[in-house]
Amino acid sequence: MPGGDGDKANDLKERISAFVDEIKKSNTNGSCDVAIKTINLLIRIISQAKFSNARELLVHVRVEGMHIQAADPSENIIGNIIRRVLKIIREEYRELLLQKNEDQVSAMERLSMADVDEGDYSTPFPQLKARVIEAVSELKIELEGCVENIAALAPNYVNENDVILTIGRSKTVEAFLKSAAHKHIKFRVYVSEGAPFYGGHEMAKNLAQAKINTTLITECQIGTIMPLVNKVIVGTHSIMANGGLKAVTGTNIMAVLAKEHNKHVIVCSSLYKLSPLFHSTPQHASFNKFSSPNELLDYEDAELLSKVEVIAPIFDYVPPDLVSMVVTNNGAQSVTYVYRLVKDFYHADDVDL
Amino acid sequence: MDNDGVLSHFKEQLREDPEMSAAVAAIKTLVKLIETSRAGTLSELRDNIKNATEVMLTGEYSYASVSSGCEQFLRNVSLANLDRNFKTVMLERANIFLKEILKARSKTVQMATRFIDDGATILTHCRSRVVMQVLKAAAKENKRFTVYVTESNPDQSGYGAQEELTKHGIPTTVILDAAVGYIMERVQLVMLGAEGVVESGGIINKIGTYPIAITAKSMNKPVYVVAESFKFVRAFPLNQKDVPDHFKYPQSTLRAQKDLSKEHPLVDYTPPEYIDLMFTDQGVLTPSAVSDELIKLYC
Repeated sequence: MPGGDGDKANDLKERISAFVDEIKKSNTNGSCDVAIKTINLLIRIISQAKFSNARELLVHVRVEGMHIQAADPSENIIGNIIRRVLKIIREEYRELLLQKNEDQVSAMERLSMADVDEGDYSTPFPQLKARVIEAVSELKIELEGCVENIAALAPNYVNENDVILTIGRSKTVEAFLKSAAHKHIKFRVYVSEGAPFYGGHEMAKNLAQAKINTTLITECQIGTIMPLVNKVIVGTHSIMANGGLKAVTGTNIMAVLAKEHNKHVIVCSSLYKLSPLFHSTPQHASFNKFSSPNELLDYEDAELLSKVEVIAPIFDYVPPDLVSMVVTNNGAQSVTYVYRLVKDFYHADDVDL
Repeated sequence: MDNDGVLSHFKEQLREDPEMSAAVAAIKTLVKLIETSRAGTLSELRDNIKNATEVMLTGEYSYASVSSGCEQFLRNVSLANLDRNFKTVMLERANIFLKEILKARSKTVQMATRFIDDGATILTHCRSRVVMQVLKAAAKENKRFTVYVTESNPDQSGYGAQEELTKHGIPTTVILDAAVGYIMERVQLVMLGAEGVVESGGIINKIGTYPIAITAKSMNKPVYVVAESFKFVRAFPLNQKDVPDHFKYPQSTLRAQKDLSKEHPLVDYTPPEYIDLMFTDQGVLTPSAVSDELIKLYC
């Protein structure tokens, strides 16, 4: 039915552009939402794709993926999901190729060629599409359970009478702390408000509603509070390949101060936030994002604008040596182990999309 | 090929192409050795290869990289089902290995150039061929940056580096080895080569590398190392004393059995905590990833 196909293709196009719009306007509901929406689109893209071999599918997913990523190059999560899906396609292809080779060659020869060469991914396999979609759907289920899995680990890291400092609002940290409170652990939380976006206000409200002893502070008070605190727990936007964080502004100050006072910095992050990219220098092109300066300088002071430069970066880079531990949906990892996870999740050829 | 033949073939390779790494020349020589070998048994051929490696190591070239390159070569070619016509199988594997090695440098350079920003100021030490290539590649991409290179005594190879970079339009200044601390505040990143990368993720490189890395770390400047994976050595030094003597002193000095406490070492060991990232043909690695890769290469 050619007509039906056309409708489907149009529907997909509309969905993609709706998502692109949403990203451009930053209308998303947290990074998990972005990840799941990206993966939903990719499942649709793959199921509607017409291809004769894995190479064509890889190219197709990459092209469509880049189109979505272009909406906001600093939104690493979209790129991460695309790369993970590409890796899934490569792995499924590899498995099919292995099976086929096993049927063909004798046991004797198999000994001498333990590894298969994927070549140019051109061998056609009719069952590839179904297998890829199944594996991607599994990944989707994993993504949906991320926050819950991390929260379930909370009682291992939050102890009775702990004094915890956090910044801004991270859904993962919120779930993490609530889960600890749910296990009847009594602790105290200081929430830094996260100016100029003030995510901390909502965070403090939500924690207080969960009957956690919560105090809201401003960023300027981090230095005063730090000696009283015994651990810092923060969320992050993404984790770079060297273990550094791309997190909400203020996190760097907090991490530096924590180091100065010898307090542990624990990062709660789902594994889809792990990016294979490096943050080489602070000037790195698509690393940061800047928001409207009206949060910092009112429109009423417009006459000042010609004299003052106002910049409102959204992210901080936190170097890996300031982070003690990353709590992921797969358990806690040391920062020096991040490279290994990156190797497992992404194929080297997909790092540059 | 007899011993003299091996040594002269090895040296000729390096004369013909001064840009070639000593390890690559050594591996080319070993491939040639297998081609011309009349060895009747597998173990005889293995002995021949080992012997040729020993001979080439006397040739006053970077001991660390020649020995690691040859060891990886031997492991790679003999890692196969070698029951019948072992020579053809080994030669085939040898050529595949050589092809990979020849691609290694360009892959490494490609990884590293991304980390040079427009307007950067870079400090480098000595004249590492692969670092030179990275800088030239970056300049070709129309990035404008300034380079400081240490004079790097005792062979003063820094001047050679300056000449070469200036020829490619990169503004380069030679500084005294003792001026590293003085210049560090102006530098954005430090980019070093390596003769050998050891299991801990640290490097063995031209004497003077260690103080540069320490200075950079204490001033919070990133230290990047560029090295192809054939330079990964199976050694785990914990301090300078642990580094084997044949890495540290010229072969002629060792043969003359001089009092080593009075001799100047040619290389030093830089521990991994002073290195931020390593650019290799296996990807961009953190020092802690090196042992993982090393095990893979030598398995």
